[in-house]
Amino acid sequence: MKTIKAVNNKVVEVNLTSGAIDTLTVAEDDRRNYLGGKGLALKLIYDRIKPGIDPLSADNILVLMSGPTTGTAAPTGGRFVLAAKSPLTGIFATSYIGGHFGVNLKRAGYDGIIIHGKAESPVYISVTSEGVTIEDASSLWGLDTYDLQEKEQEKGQWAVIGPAGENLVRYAAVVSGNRIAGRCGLGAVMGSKNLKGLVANAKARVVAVNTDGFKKALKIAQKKVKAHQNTGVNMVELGTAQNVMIYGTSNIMPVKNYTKPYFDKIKNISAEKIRDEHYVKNHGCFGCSIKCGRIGDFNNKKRVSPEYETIALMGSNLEIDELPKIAEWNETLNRLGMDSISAGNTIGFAMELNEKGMLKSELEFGKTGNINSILEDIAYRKGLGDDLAEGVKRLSEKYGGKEFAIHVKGLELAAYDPRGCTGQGLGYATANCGATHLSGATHSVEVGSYLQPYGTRGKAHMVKMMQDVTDVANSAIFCIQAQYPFLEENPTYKNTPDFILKFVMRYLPAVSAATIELSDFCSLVSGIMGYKINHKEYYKIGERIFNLERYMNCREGIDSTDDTLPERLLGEELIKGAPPIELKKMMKKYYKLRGWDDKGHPKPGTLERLNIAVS
Amino acid sequence: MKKKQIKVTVELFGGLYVKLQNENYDFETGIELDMAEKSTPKDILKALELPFFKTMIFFVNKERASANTRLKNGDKLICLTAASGG
Ligand code: SF4
Repeated sequence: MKTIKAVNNKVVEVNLTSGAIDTLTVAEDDRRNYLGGKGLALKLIYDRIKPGIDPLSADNILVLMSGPTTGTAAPTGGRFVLAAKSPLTGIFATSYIGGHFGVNLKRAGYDGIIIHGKAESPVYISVTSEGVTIEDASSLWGLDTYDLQEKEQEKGQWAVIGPAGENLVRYAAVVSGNRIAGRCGLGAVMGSKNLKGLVANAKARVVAVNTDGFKKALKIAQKKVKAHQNTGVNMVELGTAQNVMIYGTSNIMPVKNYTKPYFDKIKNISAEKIRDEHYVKNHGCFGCSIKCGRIGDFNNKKRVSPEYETIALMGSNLEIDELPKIAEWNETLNRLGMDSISAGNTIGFAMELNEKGMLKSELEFGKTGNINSILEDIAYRKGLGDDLAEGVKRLSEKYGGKEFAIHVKGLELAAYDPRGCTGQGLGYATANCGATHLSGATHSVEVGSYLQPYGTRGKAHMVKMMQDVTDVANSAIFCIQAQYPFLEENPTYKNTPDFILKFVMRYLPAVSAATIELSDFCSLVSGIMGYKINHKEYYKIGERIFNLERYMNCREGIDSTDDTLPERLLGEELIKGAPPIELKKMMKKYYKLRGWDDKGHPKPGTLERLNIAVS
Repeated sequence: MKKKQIKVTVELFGGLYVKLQNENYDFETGIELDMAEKSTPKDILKALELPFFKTMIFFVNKERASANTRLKNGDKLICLTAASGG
């Protein structure tokens, strides 16, 4: 069997308009500076794209990219990333997914694919170790994501869109197996290119360059994943839905379009309920030992059990406590290929519009009614569904309600209301793609009280650090769940008394940021790549990627006026007497730490320090 | 002199719920415990033979509390384990 040492350094470039297929070698500088995954995908787009293009035009460039960990035995190393300009936000976006496509792509000898242009009729891209071809997909167009993959399973491992992507729903997802790259509408980018999917089929072994170094690092990392409360117990036993009780009790899980602090029927939608009444088995991404997903039995139907974000946005946010219904909608969303976070926010917003008489519909808080058929209507852009397919921001521009339209830069909020974790608010306001929880996620340290949930102390440092660390992890590629054991399962963190940890995080944030434990990330990646990456270099890669994306967005017109939060979250009190989010104060500090000017643009010196060539 | 007893309702979620190997425990209602006056969440975990670790979160009567908060008769204690992204 063929062996791949760490990465192939080969990326295939496909032009769907002309049919041209070329292979390029990744420049050594790009590999060192951007590592792979998110970083490399963005750099390849940056080198090719013109600012101002329409995300749904043939000019948009879509990249699917694996990382150094993809296909190796590194914990959570089965994932890949999609990157393009988002039709939902008009700025750059990345979305992560753990289906088997990425591993097979890498095994076929390619680290990634760059896709340009637009095919004349539906096509799919086939990747094997013999090469890459563009194939006719007319007979596949119209199929849902599960049916397509089942029907065509002998061809290999797929990454596909459903009807939502075909119909250019602005939050259409890409599905591989039953894992979803949901955020930012990259499924619509595929649809706009007449690209129904990609399939990869190859056998090869992906091994580390420095086998001994990697083995040593792997042993330590695996031990930590097992030992950590979150990855060793909670995620395995309860999955991401464990967050329902944590964030619900902490007044962070959204309720009724972010108007109530607590959902009275919360226990009915909890992970504990799923475990007791619906659990069948765990499932997860390729090669992951945590397997945080689960299959459940809901009214005698075996379905993928909904994850925390889906339960929160399609459950408490709509004041719905029927798990079987939420599981049914989750499957509908997956089959049609749509992001449950954006869909739940959009439906919640439409319910409030209806309640206020601004857009009459049958959608009402607390009523399961016709939600399944509404989801179908969104995917096929029928009736009201056509408006809802545009997302919260555009819906508010058409029907009003800007003050309660919950999005940042056009991306609907993930399921963490920042009024109970203000650093997360700064994270949302500054995350490059909009209100994602996967960039600078500080909610867990704030809920865990290392940083106080309210106020501004230590928050700017923490947000910046988490954003940079996440960006490099997303380039390596590690799942966000790996961060918890790697950052926390070490003697310094475990043996330092709580009051000292809290003091350092709150009053000496620069020390806390500089001493964050990155050794597991560094040793795993160094082992895989065969050259040493130390703490400073690893961190700097993340900082570089974050600033490159910011700079790319600034070229699209993003500035400080976009770094804000929805009016409701800044102005409406959730809990009586709780202090408001002091966004301006945190932002000032944050810009300074980032080396950005008052307009939110990276200063020339910042770009130069990070070796980002301005174009 | 024997310490005064108090009654506390305890609800366990996440990893604590998993770790409590008690078939009769119902997470929807929790468990009522007789404890010595001024007991703390830490004492409760000990009484239930559950571990205590840094990232735990406690609420007493829906208000944020610490591991060393002194409990009163009739209090409702919620114990949660580490949070994560999802
Ligand atoms: S922890 Fe969950 S999301 Fe992360 S790689 Fe494993 S199965 Fe996938």
